[in-house]
Amino acid sequence: MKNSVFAALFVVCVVLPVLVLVVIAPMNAQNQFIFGMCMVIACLIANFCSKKHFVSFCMLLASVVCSTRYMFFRATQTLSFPSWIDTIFGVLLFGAEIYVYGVLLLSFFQLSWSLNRKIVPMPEDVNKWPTVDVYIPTYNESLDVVRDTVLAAQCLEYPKDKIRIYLLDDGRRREFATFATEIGVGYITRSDNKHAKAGNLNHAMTLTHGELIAIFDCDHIATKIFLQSTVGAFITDPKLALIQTPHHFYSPDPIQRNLYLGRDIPPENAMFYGPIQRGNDNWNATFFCGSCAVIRRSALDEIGGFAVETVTEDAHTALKLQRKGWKTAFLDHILAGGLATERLVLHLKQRNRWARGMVQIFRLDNPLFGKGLTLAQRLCYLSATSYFFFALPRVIFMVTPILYLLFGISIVHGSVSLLLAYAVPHLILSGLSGSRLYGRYRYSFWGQIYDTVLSFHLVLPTVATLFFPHHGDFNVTDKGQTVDKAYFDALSVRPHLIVAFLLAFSIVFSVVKIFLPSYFETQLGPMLLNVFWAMVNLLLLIAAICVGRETANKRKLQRLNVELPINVYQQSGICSRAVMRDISMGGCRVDNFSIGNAELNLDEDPITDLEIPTGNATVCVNVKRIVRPMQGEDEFLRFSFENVDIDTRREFVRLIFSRADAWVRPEYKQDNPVRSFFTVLACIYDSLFPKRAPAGKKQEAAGESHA
Amino acid sequence: MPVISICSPKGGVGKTTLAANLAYVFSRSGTRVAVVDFDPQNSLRLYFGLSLSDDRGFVTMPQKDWASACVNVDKNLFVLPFGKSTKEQRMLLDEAMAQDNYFKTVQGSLFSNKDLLVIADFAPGYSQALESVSKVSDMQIVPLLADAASVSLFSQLLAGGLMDGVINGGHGYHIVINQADNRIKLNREIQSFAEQNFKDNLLGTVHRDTSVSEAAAQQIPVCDYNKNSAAAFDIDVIAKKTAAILGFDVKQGTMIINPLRH
Repeated sequence: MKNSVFAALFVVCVVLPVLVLVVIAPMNAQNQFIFGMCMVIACLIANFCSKKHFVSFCMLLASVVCSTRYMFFRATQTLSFPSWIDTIFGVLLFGAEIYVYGVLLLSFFQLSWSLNRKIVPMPEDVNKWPTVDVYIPTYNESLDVVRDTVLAAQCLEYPKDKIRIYLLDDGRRREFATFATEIGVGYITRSDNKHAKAGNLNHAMTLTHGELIAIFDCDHIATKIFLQSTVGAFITDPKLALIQTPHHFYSPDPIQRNLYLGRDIPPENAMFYGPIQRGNDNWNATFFCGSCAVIRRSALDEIGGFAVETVTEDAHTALKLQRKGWKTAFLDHILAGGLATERLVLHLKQRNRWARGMVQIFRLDNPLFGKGLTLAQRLCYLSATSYFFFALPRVIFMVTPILYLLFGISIVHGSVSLLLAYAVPHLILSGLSGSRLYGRYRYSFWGQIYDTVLSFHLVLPTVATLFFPHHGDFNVTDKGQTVDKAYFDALSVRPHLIVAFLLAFSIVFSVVKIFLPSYFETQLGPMLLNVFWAMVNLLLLIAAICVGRETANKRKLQRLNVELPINVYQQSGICSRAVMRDISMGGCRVDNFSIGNAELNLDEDPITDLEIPTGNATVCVNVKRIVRPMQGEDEFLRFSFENVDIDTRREFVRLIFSRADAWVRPEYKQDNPVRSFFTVLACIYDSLFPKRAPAGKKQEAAGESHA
Repeated sequence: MPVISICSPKGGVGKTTLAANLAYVFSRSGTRVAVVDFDPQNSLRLYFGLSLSDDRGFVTMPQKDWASACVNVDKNLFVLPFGKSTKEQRMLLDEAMAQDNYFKTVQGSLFSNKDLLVIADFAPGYSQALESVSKVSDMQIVPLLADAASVSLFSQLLAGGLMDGVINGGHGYHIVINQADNRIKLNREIQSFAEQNFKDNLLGTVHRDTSVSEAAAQQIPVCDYNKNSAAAFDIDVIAKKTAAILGFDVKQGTMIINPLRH
């Protein structure tokens, strides 16, 4: 106690004044440059020498100091404008920078202390295990997508008398009811679709009675250990209302698929379902993400069920729970896998909903105000609900250099050298500390690309929702579709194309100006600075535009590499052993056991059935051989499964999706900003000059690297 | 070396096939094996390339050492055919075998030979030979089919009342489910029923595999006909388990071609 008082006194009386002095000390360009470079070099050396958390913290501090210095400089020395039009755009830019600065501080706060939660083991005494309802809400997804999710839920390892599985069908489809009856799970539907998913869940809650509710979106296939990994925490902590686990996508998201074609780059959502939620968890501010989570019924009852006021019912529900003093937790183990959005346009639609929902929460139930939250929780929720505002500042940054280069609007007052001396250390250090803090989850520059892809489409929804928070419907993200043929989605990247064209034009225009100084009156410094800025923007935009090039995505099925001894039946009854090399729900590949075994003529005596041990049971399935035209003997036999009955299918689900290690994959390499930059260039090059290799081949590589 | 009896209350369950292929497996792994046919059908020899017209056999020599009637068919592998017989000859043989310690004394060179593994194949059901050999037998392997008719025998076997209790000598009886076929639901269910009931007494299952009958027709071991044969693999597993139960070393490590490439 005494120590912490002294520490607080020390911080307030010594550290803070020193920091304030460092931030506001005025310097000329040369001194500021030396100061900035010293900080950068010190941080680079520290980064290289030590991986300790304390060093990270010091780097963050240095980064914050440099950024704050920059902002202070911007606020005090650069905001005098020659005309009203310059004032408007200058203030807009400064506003955008303030937003980015605020987000930077918030995210450093969120990411600096992360909680690495462990699985709480289940008690030995099974009688103490709570009852669980598993909800699988669906609206318009096809049964093909939902089927395996429900079968996987049946494979969950939990006492049979303590688990009930319910398919919540808001689409009121007969085939779903038939399916549920056939396999023996509950089927719940309702007469209206009020409040979309939240309403669907709330309706089901009135009909079932489990103490805990596990929720899986209809494409999120759970591993068998899901419940045993999550439920234990509810038993030891009676105030725990929610455990969220990561959403993992086994299909590539549009950006992965269209841009980096199988390269080893963390997917877009890795950042959120890693450092961000772990950081939230540290402050007891994990929020619910709609799926792959377990919630306590009594907690939900206290807030009147799932929140229905916004289109992101999940985050809002968590916020309401936390206002009542309930705890939430994030378990960073991938315990379920789902489908990413298949196409860019669907991705945009989904993010559009998230953006609107988050802004709705920001407006209607702002986490900064109201009862029941700690300051840290308020900041974490603020960070989440204001995240999607990034769109407007991003667009401002995109178009600002055009304003200067084409129209001569001067938005920043001051000398270029001074500006650079302040801005460069700020940019380098924030990039460096970000890379160090979460380089395994998001690579440098890629975050910018993700944001650029979304930004233009989110400006309108965020701004509109900010002023009219009650408008807007819930839209369901379509999943399980395929892209049959490669095409260019020009509509989705139209704003990008326009701005990219303007940027390119202004760059060319300026270069012409620079080389003809006798005809044009130019200031070389600001011109070069803006040309450089425009080029960076152009690069990001080109990357974003490349995402609009939809590559063909025909494979729908998760493929699992195995080495599994199986038996193969031929028509004549000959039964041979073989080794299965990979399997999906639709078929498999087997070593060609007939090579050098003259008695087995597979052409005259075709293979009819496979006998596959799945660990739990041995299943037999009818197969049809897929013969590929190729020279000489094929090393593999390829089969498609025919007439798979539901019990066999369940065993396949158990084998492919339900294994405890189904989604375990090695960590991504630590980010290296230089390498990352060249990967961006390589990806753009790939997209602009596609190799002549058949598209299917590339897809296979992409699919397998994420298997 | 031990004596293994292969017997079953039912006919046509694959006793002879199992005996012949087990003999191949053991002999190829470097164990000297004598496989003895106690079934007057005299069909065991056909698995080893002996011709249909070859009438040699031990049935004509009840009081002599049968070692002289052994036919060496492969390295380490000796077959002792029953031979062509008349009713009188078979009665004389039964009489001889009914003597006390017949297999320890008169046939001691085969049945108490420390360098020789004996696999004895019997006619279905009870026979004098089965009863006499059971006194020197270390283990009985009982093949059964995974069909409805075999299920009725399960309970009798479990009660130990089958074949007048003659099959409980040595390490006792061990069940082998033959012609297991997971494509057929009933078959699958009977297999799991057998697993639950016989537990450790279930030595293994052998897949229904046409390779077995094709190999028999060509008078070669199953693994020579189809090196990846599921049935051959199953028999190999049974051989290994048998060796483990009886506590003798299989001399040269692995016993069959392993189809798993690494």
